[in-house]
Amino acid sequence: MRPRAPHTSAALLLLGAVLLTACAPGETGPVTPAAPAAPAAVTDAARLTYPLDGYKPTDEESRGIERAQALLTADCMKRFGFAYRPPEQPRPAGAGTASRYGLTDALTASRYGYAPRGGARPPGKAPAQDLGPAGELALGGPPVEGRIPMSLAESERTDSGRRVNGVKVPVGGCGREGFLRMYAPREGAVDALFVFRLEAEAFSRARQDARVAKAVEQWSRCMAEKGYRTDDPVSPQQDLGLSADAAGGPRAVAAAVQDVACKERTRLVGVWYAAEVGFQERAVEQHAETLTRTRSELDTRIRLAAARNG
Amino acid sequence: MQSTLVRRAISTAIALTALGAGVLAGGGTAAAANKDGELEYREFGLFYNSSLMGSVFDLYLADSNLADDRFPGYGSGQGEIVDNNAASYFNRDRVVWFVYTGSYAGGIEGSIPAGYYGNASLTFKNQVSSAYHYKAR
Repeated sequence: MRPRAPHTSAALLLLGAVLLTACAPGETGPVTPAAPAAPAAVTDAARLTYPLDGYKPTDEESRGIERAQALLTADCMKRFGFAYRPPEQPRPAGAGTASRYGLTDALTASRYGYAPRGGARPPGKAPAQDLGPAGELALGGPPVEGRIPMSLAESERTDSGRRVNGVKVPVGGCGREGFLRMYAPREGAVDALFVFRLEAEAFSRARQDARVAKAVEQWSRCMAEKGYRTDDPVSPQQDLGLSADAAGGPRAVAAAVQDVACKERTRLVGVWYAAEVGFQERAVEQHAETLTRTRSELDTRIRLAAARNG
Repeated sequence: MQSTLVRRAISTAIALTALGAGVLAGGGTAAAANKDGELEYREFGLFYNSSLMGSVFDLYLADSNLADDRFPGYGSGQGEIVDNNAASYFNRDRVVWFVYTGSYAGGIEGSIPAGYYGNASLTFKNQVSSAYHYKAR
């Protein structure tokens, strides 16, 4: 499988003429088209797509990988004589209502303010299976001392110094072994957070871009018109003095409505998105080799998950 | 941030030989105690230094704003604010943890598989500001 077509249809449709510029990332001077058209409002930032998306699993693929990793952990536990039942990943009720740029949807703002997922109660954790001390040792491993093996191959060469039912316990236990079987069966595997780091860096650099900084200033001034003092368009809750309990209350709703209106007025999301895409494109070029390996390893992982999940 | 992380990388090399990773509890702990400075099984840990060194901030359940938290564990960084200040991570939970570069699940989302251990990049300037044991958006 190759990377999915990056950030083409949905993003461009949403943005319309918002692509103020095909600027070079990192340039700080004004780089605007000769006759910029009025940008379209971005009302659903969750639909935007990015150049690095093709190097990440879809939500469905992620769930398959999670299930398979849990089963690989259970396979490990069988070696020690334990029937381990992996827990389900907690899933919150309600649809997500925030984006990487914070709140961007006017309807959500007017209904729920900053309350996550429409105020749905967050999920807890399933009770731990009683495995007894030996089972917990096999699952979690003994206290970690020294280097933690970074691949399954290295783990198999490493002695944790502990045995359960005569079998050597892996460093980090079966929990760590399940991860290594899925993400690092051989030495030199790409770190599981590699793409996340590139995304975070592109996001952060885009935030510092002169055009984005200007748009944030405009958004901040727009918020101040209604008495809201904040310079954080992503997570303004703390600046606004909104506790978690008050995130869906009338005061939060009023602030959230203004927040989204100001983002639309200043075209902040479109400006930030355009800059971020530029930085991600640069990252794709700079890390092409590692990203090619990332995609290849992901494809292998997806096949492994499908085979293990049956 | 970069200079901070470089400084930590150097101090970590010293700490590795001096302290060992004594804050990582074994698998025999039945009930994980949230934010007690000891990373137990079923918890997600953020370490002040790379390579799981220095003080650890351990989470059993989600925390939407790490700016309100300080590293409680013994070691380098103890008492420092956790937000944007972790140099390494270890997911000792049985489920995926989701981290965000902004508080309240804002910014970039990253999923950290169960059993993952790794260091933050030296050039990674905007790090984890909130963490959840579920996908928060």
